Amino acid sequence: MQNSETSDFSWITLPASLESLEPCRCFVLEKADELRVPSEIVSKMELALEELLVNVVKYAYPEDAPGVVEVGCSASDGQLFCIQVRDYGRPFDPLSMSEPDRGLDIEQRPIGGLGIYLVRQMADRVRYEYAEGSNRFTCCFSCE
Amino acid sequence: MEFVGVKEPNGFVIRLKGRLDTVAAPQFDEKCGQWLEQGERHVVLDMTGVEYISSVGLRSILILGKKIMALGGKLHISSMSKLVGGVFQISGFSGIFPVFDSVDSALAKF
Repeated sequence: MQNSETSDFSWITLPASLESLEPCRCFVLEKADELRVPSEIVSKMELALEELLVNVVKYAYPEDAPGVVEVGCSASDGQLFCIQVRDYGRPFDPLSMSEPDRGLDIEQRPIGGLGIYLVRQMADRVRYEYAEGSNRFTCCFSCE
Repeated sequence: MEFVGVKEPNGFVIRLKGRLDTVAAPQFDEKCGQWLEQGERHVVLDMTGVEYISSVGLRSILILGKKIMALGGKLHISSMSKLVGGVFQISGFSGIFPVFDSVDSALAKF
C-alpha cells in the first residue's frame, strides 16, 4: 500500500480519550453507509476500529501530555474499505507483539492482549508504518 | 448496557442487552461483582441481547469467570449471536467457558 492511498481518505481528528470512541465510530459508520459497505464487513470494521482506538487512548500518550487521534476511511473502487488510525505518540508497532496463547486454559491465561489479534483476524489486510511523526495503522476489508 | 439478574432453581441468569464494549465494561464488572458478592455461584451469562463485543468485553467476561471459579463456582455462556459467537471463537474463549444455545441448556448443565 502506498502513501498516496490515503489521499482520498476522509478524516476526523479528536482527543485521544474514551469519549472519542463513539464519535469516531459514528464517523466511520456514516462513511461505510455512504459507500454501501455490506453490514458484515461493517461489523468487522467496527471491532477493528475500537481495538485500534482503545490502544491509542491507553498507550499512545503519557497521562500528563494527552494528544489526538486521527481516523480516516475510504473505499477504493467499492471493493476495498480501509480505515487508518493515527497518533503522534512514541513509535510503536502493534504488529510486533506476539499473539496471545489461545491454548492456555483459564487458570494460566493472562488478561488482555487480544485487541491487536482481533484486528488481524477481522481485517483482510493490515499495515503499520511510522511516518511524519505519527504511528499509522491501516486495515482494509474486502467488500467482495 | 442493560443488566437483569434472574434467580432460577438451577442457577443465576445474567441477562445482558446492548454492546459489551470498552465503555460498558466497567459497568459490567461492577454489576457482576455485586451479584457474586451476593453469593451467586452457578452463573449463566445470557448473551441474547448482546449485539457486539470487543476485547475489553471479553476481558471482563474472563475476569468474571476467573472470579467465579476461584469461589468454587461455574460460568456458562448462552445464546450468542453469530457475530458475537464468532469473536468468542476467534479469540479462543469458546474453549474456556462452556457455551450453550439456550439459557435452559446452560442451566441444565451445572
